[in-house]
Amino acid sequence: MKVVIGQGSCGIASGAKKTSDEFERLIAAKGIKNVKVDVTGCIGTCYLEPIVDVYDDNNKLAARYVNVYENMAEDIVNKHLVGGNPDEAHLISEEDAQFIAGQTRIVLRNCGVINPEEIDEYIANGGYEATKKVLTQMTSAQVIEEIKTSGLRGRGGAGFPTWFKWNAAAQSPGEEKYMVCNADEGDPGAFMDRAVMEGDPHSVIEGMIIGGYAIGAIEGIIYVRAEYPLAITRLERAMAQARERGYLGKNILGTGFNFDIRIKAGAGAFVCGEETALIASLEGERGMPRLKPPFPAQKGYWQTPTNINNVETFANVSWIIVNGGEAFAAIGTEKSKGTKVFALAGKIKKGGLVEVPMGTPLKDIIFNIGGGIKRDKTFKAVQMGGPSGGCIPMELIDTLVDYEEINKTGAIVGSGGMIVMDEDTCMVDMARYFLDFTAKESCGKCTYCRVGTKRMLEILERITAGESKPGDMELLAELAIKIKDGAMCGLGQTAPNPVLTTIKYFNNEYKDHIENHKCTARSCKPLLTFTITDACTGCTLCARKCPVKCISGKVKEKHVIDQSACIKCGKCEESCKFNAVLRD
Amino acid sequence: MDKIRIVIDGKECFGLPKQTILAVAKENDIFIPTLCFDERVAIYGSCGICVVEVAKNPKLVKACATEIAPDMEVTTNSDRIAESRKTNMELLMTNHTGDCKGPCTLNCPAGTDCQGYVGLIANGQYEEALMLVKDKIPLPGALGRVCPHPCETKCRRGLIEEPIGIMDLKRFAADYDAANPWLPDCDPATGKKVAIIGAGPMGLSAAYFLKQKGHDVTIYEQMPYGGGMLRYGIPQYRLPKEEVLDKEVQTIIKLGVDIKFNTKVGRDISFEEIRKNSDAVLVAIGAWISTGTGCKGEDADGVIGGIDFLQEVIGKNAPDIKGKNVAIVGGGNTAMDCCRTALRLGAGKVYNIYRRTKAEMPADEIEIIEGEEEGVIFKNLTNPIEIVKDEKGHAKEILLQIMELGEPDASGRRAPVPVEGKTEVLPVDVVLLAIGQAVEESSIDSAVTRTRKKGIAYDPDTFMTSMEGVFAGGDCGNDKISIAVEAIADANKAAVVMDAYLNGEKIKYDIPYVDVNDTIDEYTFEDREKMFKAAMPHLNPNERKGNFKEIVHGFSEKDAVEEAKRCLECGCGSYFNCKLIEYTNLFGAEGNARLGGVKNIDIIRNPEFKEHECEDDHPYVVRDNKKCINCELCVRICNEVVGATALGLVNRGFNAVVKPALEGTLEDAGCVSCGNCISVCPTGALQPKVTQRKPVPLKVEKVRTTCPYCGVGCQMDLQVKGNRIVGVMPAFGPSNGGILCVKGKFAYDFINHPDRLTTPMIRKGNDLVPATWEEALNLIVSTINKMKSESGADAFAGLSSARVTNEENYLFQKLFRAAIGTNNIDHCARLCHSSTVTGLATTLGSAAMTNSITEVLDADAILITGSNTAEGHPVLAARIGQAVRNGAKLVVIDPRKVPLAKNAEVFLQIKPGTNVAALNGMMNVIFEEGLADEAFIAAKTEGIADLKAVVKEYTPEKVAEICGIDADELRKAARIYATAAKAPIYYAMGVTQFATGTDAVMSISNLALICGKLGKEGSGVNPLRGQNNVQGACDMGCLPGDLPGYQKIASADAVKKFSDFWGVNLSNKPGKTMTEIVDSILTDDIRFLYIMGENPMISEPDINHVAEALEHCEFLVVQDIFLTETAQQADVVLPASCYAEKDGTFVNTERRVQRVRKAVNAPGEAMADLDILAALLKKLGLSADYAGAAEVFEEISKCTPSYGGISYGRLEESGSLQWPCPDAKHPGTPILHVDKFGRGDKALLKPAAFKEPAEVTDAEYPLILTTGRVLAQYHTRTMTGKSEGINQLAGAPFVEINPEDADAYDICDGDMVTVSSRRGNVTVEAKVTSDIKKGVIFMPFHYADGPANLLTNTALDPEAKMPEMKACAANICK
Repeated sequence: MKVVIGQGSCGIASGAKKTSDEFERLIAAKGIKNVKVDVTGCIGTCYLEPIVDVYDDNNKLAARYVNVYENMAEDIVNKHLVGGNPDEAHLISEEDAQFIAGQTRIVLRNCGVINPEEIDEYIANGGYEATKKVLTQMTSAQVIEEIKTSGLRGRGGAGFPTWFKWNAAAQSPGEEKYMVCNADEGDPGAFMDRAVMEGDPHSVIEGMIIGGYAIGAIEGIIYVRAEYPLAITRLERAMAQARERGYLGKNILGTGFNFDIRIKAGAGAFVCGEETALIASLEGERGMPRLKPPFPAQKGYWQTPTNINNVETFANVSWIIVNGGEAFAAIGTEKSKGTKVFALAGKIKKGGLVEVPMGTPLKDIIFNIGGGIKRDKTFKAVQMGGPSGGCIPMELIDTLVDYEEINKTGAIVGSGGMIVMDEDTCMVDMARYFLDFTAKESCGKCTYCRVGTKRMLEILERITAGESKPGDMELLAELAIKIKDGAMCGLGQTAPNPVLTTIKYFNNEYKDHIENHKCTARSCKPLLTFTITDACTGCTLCARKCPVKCISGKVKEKHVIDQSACIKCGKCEESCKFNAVLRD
Repeated sequence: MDKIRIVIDGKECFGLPKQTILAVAKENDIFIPTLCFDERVAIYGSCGICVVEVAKNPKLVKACATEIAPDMEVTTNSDRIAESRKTNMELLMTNHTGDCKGPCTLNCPAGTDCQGYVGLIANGQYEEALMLVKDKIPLPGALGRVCPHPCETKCRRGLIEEPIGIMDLKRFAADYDAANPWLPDCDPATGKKVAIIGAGPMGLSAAYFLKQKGHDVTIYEQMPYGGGMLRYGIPQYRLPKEEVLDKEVQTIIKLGVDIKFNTKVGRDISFEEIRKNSDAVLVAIGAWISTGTGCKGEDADGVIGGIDFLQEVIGKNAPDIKGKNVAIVGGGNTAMDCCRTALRLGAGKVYNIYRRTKAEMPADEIEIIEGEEEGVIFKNLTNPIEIVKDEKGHAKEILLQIMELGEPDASGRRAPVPVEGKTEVLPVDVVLLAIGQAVEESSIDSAVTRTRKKGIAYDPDTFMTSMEGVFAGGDCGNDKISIAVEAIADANKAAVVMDAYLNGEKIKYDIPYVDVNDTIDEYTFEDREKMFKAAMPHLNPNERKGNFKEIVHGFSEKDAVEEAKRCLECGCGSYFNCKLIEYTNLFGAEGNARLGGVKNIDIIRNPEFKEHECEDDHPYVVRDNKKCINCELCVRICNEVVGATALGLVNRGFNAVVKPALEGTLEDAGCVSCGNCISVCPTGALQPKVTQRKPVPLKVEKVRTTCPYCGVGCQMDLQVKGNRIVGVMPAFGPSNGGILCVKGKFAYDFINHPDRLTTPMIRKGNDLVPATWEEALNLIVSTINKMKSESGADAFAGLSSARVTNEENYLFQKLFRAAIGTNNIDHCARLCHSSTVTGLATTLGSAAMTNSITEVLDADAILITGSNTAEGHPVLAARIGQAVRNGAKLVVIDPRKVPLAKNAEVFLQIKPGTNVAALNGMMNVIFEEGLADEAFIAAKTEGIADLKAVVKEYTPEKVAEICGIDADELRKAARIYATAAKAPIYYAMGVTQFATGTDAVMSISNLALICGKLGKEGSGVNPLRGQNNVQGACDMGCLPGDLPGYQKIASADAVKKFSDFWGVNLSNKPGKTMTEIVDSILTDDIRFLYIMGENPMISEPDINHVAEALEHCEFLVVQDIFLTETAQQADVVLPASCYAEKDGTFVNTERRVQRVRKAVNAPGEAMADLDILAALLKKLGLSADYAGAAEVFEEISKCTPSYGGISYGRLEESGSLQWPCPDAKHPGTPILHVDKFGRGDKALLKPAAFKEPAEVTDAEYPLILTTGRVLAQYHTRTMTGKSEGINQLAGAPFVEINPEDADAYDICDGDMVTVSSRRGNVTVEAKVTSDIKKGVIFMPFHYADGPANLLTNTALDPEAKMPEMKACAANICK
């Protein structure tokens, strides 16, 4: 029997470590024998953390307990471990179990299942079979062919065919080549790469070994942001174990293939997810993009042929080798094969990681797996692809998740961030938020991005502050198009996307802000007016809560807000028990 | 390689594979703008201005980064491109804050470059100042007296105390020029005819500008004199007519403008006729009608228009108003002119009637003050109601309404309102109405549309009236009667439009966009010292009573210069070469008007962002991040090319700024002050700091020349304004590739230095007194004749110069050999590379650098020994650094950890004087490890057995012991050098300046030979020449045993050849070397010494000995540009010219002959050395009528085989040629010894055993002293020492001492210490540094106030006679 507690960063943040410690303490205190407390990675259901799985002696999952905080451990220990019966009170609900059951897991196949710190568990689940197969039975060209058959496309954002990049690097002349893993996951709200590195580090390593073999690399480098310390620790541990077992290092599995991997911790600059900037950073330079061409496949790290793939891409590779490219290609749509992991966040009931076949309708993800909108508000839009992506409105909710289909909407699949917005989200402010992010993360090299995003941001700031000028939306759109056209790298070229898609789908909201100085979603504070309606009973609560004391009125008489002094903090609305404060 | 065909804008172009679109376009003269691309640095692609369209590519592509492909079709200009560039520029401009031009210039209607001419006056360049004024103002004397100077109202000096007297300075420049007025050049005649009606400021100015454009201009003027209202509306006491204005009108006539005076259109000639005979007509008739107030009784006798009155007075037709009461109505300058003129005509009481207070009067304050002084009675706050007539209808009284100031209106102005019922009556005889003016009605054809107020209507953008080809402007047009400078401004603009019209084009006058820094207020200048304007000399009220004498005298020269120096220099120093403003205007970008937003400066001003502040006190670099556009050219050239990495980018996004590393100062960040960052900056963010004069933004002339400092021979462009060098920009020479070092870029202040010698001087007793050239030269010649008859020719000796040109060196040795008859000629090469000459002549047969500098860029390994390249030859060091960054492995052998040692793969820090041992050790390893090129040795060398025998003993361990290094490091060094395919060796004085220098040079040669690294690209033995023309001085035969081109005195054939060539019998006795000459003076064997451009008092070893000799010398002639320590000893001093003042050629270290071109005139009576020498030659009976340096060069190439094919013509074409270049078809020789060696088919391997330096350490002198250079200074500082910035960087002598030694001697960094040797002692500052080896101390030799050479040893190399300056025994104490 074993108790497995999910301890990805998200789990730990929810208190999983404390829960785990408590289980250990209780098991020891109660003298329970033959029960081991074990660790696993994130299973993806963030809203249910901490999660405690109890496996029976046959290593079968006997019960899954959710939201298990420290103080609940004793119940479970007493009822299940001692008493032998599941603790019904903390068991996962049928509906929540569906969250996982409704998914197709390739990338996340081991996440939340195996102990990421034990190579044996990975091997027991079929790990390193692909490496053996590749190194002993396949040529580099065959590997690339298999990947081509699979139709795997880069999961980092652009969706470029993986085999094509590998092939270019393989064909590029040079003795020294490098296989780089881009683990600089920088989109706000995206955390699938972290979950994979923390929950299944060997799948990344194995993907890199296979890719390294395919392109003829001598070394692999994982460029991982320093904000992911647990991922780094688990990767380091996994690499050490892989080295011990002969999967990394000189003469791997006696095949004569030499390949080792090292980690480079990045300082967390969004732009370093751009591959040329990543290379500059690897070389110890300021992380700034370089001109393409030459592409990294020709002249990358230290001017040598270099291939860069994303964590999730690598995590697919060994599955494809073991199960065959065709099996992978059988999943998904015509041009988008396999599955994709999405990080569901925002105003969604069940936030977390979901892995679904390509081609799944957005609606299914949001409403079936994600359970719909929090507090059952109205769905408004979903931002896909993070700050480089765009928003997809309600009327396009039936769009299939497929690179081409999503691109048609003006958004991108991107690395898989999905931020769900409801009726209370101001789309202008949302665009402002993302642009604020990209403007700050711009490296400052090219004019369009350095100055252009700043100027766009200023326009959005004045629109949301109610200080817009006529023509602002047109100017914003003009700048957006020019920046898309003229910026040097992907960051700048995609930075205007949130603005362009919101202008496209929520033009009226912009107009309302600019022409009527109204925020349709009643979110932009400077544009709001709070007034007290006749429903007021004169309870005086609002007047007492008002931080600037701008509400006056006698007891049991209708109160009035002095608009000139109101700072629009909304405290009156929050405090009113009679729904007598109108926000407009 | 096959060329690729592409089409750019429909034009077929060809380029090489890998070339970019931008490069191919440039080669084909197709303009593609860029801000961030520069061929010196790698492609970066940040600015995005170079975007172009490529057919079939949906995106705009960056031309700077896109390689051409076959049949690519490129469009460089389309709407889409223009739009992208425009927005890009607009975005850039939203974050650029600066004043393109000063507010003075911007506020001058005519756009006169006020800051420019004020600055030029401050710098004493009065003529240039006047030329600049006359660029916009053809009547500077007049405007300099009467212009209401809107420039001054905006002058920011006014925020401190008071504005600069810009108008007075204009007058100063004009008066300075008045005696011999400067006239601009006119373009060739166009054959187009322009008629101008009216010779007022507008007409005259338009004529002046149009004439310059080559048009034929005729002015029709109704009055007998030109000048319009300036002539007839302004009184003599303010603007003298005959003396000033008429003369200025004359200059316009002199320019070729025909003025038909006394010709009124409509009376004397019809408008139709004028139109018929002209291609364009300009109506500039002014506004000559005086308008009234409209009050009752204005028709009375005695009521006269103000300007009519003034006109009558000036026309000597003044009404008699003696003793009469005169009232003048109006508050402007015309009213004041009327008041003061009336007083001068002897009027009784003169009243000024004006409805507001004095403070609101539009007249100049000085006019009011002076009027009051002269007796004008001011009736302010009064307004005429009626002019009361007497019975004859003559004015008798004037009835005035008393006014008061009402409440301020919206503009804050308080309007006068009548005080109900309060009036005043003044008895008057004459009333002058100076209220306003109007345009005369009937003067031109009515076909031209008039305005409602009867002005002539014209389009304000095109100046064209309703009639095609008829233009108008100035006071007569569009109801904008104004001041003279406005009319001149109209003339300026209309001339541009009319010129275009005459060329068949219709354009609008476009006002160029300029950026304005509107954040400046009085707080900006809080720290400035208040300096008031000097009082302008003028007549006091008594002196001006009753006469029309000019009141104001104008500035004295001293006051003018002082006044001009007050200028705050608001306008950007880079305006005239700012690409940013050029492109902003080119692409029609609208500054930040459209996009707006927060600027860098807002962030800078926000205390939270202190980090953006960027001022530091670098001696040469002024940084202004407000103007920075983040193109990063500075960062990139500093990192990629110079290798200093002193600048980098800090922060992200919009807040990204260029800053020195670690938030410190540039100097702390490792700046080497080369200024290349400034040279590449496309805007004004980086500018040079100028100390010795006022920095003035100006258009400059460029003169391509060769740097006068070290032997690298960098090409550069002198920026010249008038007779002054105002800056230096790097040019793309083969040796420097577009960069310069601190000396080349900045150390030019000496050229204009006040200490320059300007007149010959002759010793009278203890003093040197000025003399004429005739006196000085005659004294020299008579002394020569006398001494020669007494003691023979060998009593004479001459020291030539590595600083002067080939032509001058050639004449110098010709003077001694042909005119005097001795071979006692030497120069400082004796002190630098005589060991190279003897050593390499023996082993290879030629002493020059074998290979070319650019080859280093492709080297696989580089060996540097005895050269502090980064300080002695900085530009070469930069290129070595580039090679290292490209993967070349560097080996440095030196007693000091010189800057390049930090880039080295192996650094061998040897004891001074152990070079031979180290080199033998390397050869030992190479033989032992079988790395020698045996095939080369067998085929191309002799003496291998001897060499092997000698170097066998020098095992790495033994050498390690001798040199104080690690044996394995020595092995590593040997392997790197021997196994590299391309590995040049560079060496300098650290090898040669030893008594064993020749041995060391030969050992280097041995090393290169056994590795087969001679006669091929990227190899060779490369002695680095220290001075700009030391190679040339040697080539020209300024050596005791060599005639030009190393033809030997020892060869009878050579002596005969030259005897025939020069037509005299030459001595075949080899002359004395420099050191021998010094000794011979002391033994009286030499009585006469002529030193040209050398300063042995600092540069020779054991200076005391030299001083004694010079003191002893019977007759010493020194020819130099400064009164050097040596010149102070002279009997005759001859003032010479520096490199910027003459034509000629220098030869750089790689045998490259390059031109030196005259940019400015020498100061005073100073003459070019060439002319001085030619004069002496002639006086001594030789023919020397050279028309210029080119003719001397022709003579050189005739008698010097290695120069046989070089001529000025070829140098002009190709920029440079490397000798040997025997005939006119020969391409020059980049690499020596390719087929065979100078000495024959085989080179000689001549082994040398290690010998200790001549002076070894002992108990009394336990340290080894070695000497050398510092980066910023040059030689004996006669030139560099004149630059403030250079002295700030390296102003004082010092001694470097290892921390362990410092501890032992109880010396701290910064202590003053005394360094002593057997020859003397010197006190300097101690610099404790681990860069110097323990037991060794180092001193730079540049400083007269801490002369290292007082200590150095004169022990000589037996063959080369090179003194051992690099090692002597010394001691140190606090």
